[in-house]
Amino acid sequence: MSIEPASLSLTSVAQAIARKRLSSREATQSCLDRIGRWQPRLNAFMAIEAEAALAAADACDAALASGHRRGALHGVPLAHKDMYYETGKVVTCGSKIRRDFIATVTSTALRRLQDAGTIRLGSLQMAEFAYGPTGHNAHYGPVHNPWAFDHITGGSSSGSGAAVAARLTFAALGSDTGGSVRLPAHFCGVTGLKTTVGRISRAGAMPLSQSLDTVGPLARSAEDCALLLGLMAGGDPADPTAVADRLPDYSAAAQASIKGLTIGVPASFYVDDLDPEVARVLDEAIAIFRSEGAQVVQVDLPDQRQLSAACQLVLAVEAAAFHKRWMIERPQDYGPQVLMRLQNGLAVPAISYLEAMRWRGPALAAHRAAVSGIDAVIAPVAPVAAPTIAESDVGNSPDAEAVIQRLTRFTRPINYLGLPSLAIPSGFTRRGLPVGMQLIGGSFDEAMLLRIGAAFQRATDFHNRAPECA
Amino acid sequence: MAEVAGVPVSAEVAARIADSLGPAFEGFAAVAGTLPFDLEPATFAVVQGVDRTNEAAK
Repeated sequence: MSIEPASLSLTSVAQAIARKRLSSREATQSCLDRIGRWQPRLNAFMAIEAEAALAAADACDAALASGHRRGALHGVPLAHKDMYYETGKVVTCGSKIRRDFIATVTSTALRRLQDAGTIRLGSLQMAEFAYGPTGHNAHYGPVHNPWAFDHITGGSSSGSGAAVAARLTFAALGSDTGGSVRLPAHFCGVTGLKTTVGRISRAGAMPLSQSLDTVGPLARSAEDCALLLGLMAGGDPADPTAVADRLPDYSAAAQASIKGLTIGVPASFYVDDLDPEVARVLDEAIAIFRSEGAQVVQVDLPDQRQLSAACQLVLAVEAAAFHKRWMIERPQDYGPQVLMRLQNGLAVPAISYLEAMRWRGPALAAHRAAVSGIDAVIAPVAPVAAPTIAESDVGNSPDAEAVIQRLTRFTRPINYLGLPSLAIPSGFTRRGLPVGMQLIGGSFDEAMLLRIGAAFQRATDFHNRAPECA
Repeated sequence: MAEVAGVPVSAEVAARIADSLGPAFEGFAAVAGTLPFDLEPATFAVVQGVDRTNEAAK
């Protein structure tokens, strides 16, 4: 095979290994070679397990040679956000507090990927306790954007975004509580799926907010996300919130045309205060959807500021509740910004929290009524392309909350409603920074988003462009 | 309030918290205090369930 194996998509590398056109060792070595070149510039990995990965790859190759294929991702090397527990492995959660924490269980999402045959390259950097949208980390340093090293990756799945973009791993798990899959996808130029609350088990994944947390993949295409979702989704006795419905064929959905579908463009909020280059990219994306046969209509959504505010109240309280013991016993071991945000949760009255939780049902019903007849809503992920690391390094300064709220204003309403959203690369700024958009669907209708996203990616090549390591 | 929660914070931190959360309380003000008596949080799962039923029927 003449092309660099690490440059293949997840779907392609899995097929190449299955057909014995490529060995797992070749795929793994290719990723490790790239990790060796990029890691000093990106800081995307928390731990690199080269020897173990190569040994596992050799075992996969031997198994395949003897006629045993574990599953759809046999021999494919992956790395994930360092918050998915794996028995016997250190899982830092991006924190000092859990720097030496060794997991005694394996998360369901990770185990399902392992059952499909994946092997482990190591673990990926993240915001401390997944509580930060920029990619800064007070303990382990910022992750750098592969398209421009002095710019942020977005967070909290910062290492996942950077490593997938730089072709260091074929895909990676992230998590999305307020935008943490979609923001790195947008800033790093990769595809990220925020799943419906209840679609993928959260058992064995570090919690941040039990009402809002979702597990989701970052990959190079909607087709790859479809493959991963089909492997991870479904019920789980270890997480009663994971629904056990029969799953659609996500990969088949990703092959379907969008002719005749209806895509909604919000009349307000998501079009306000956009950087002109982000607005241009969205306009161009809308034109592509039209050219692919979709009908594009304007949609009036309920007040998104209220949804965003409710999300902030719920997240603040639930995060503070998880962290209360450490906030008392080890406050000095938090980064300043994370401690500041956790302390916010102490000041939300219980009545406000419960009102925000009680309103969730009516708010979702109102949203559903507003988008009746619409297959997906298109919106920006963030109002800007990736800011610089320096300008967004606000720590616990008085400006910090304003910076955080600006970056997450388009993602948090979707978390509050528990809806799925697919972030896909949609263009570039004149400086060469990626710009993404999000496609927002109905509850549990990830298949529709993957269908629309894959059709967009068949008509464009933004998702196939890769950064160069200067 | 933080003292009631059992986590001590300084006056400076309390002021910062007020600044951080102020916009959230303002944004939610139109909803706060308006919800019907018999509305409970599980309604969210009920509304989600309607979508699940529709999805399964496809």
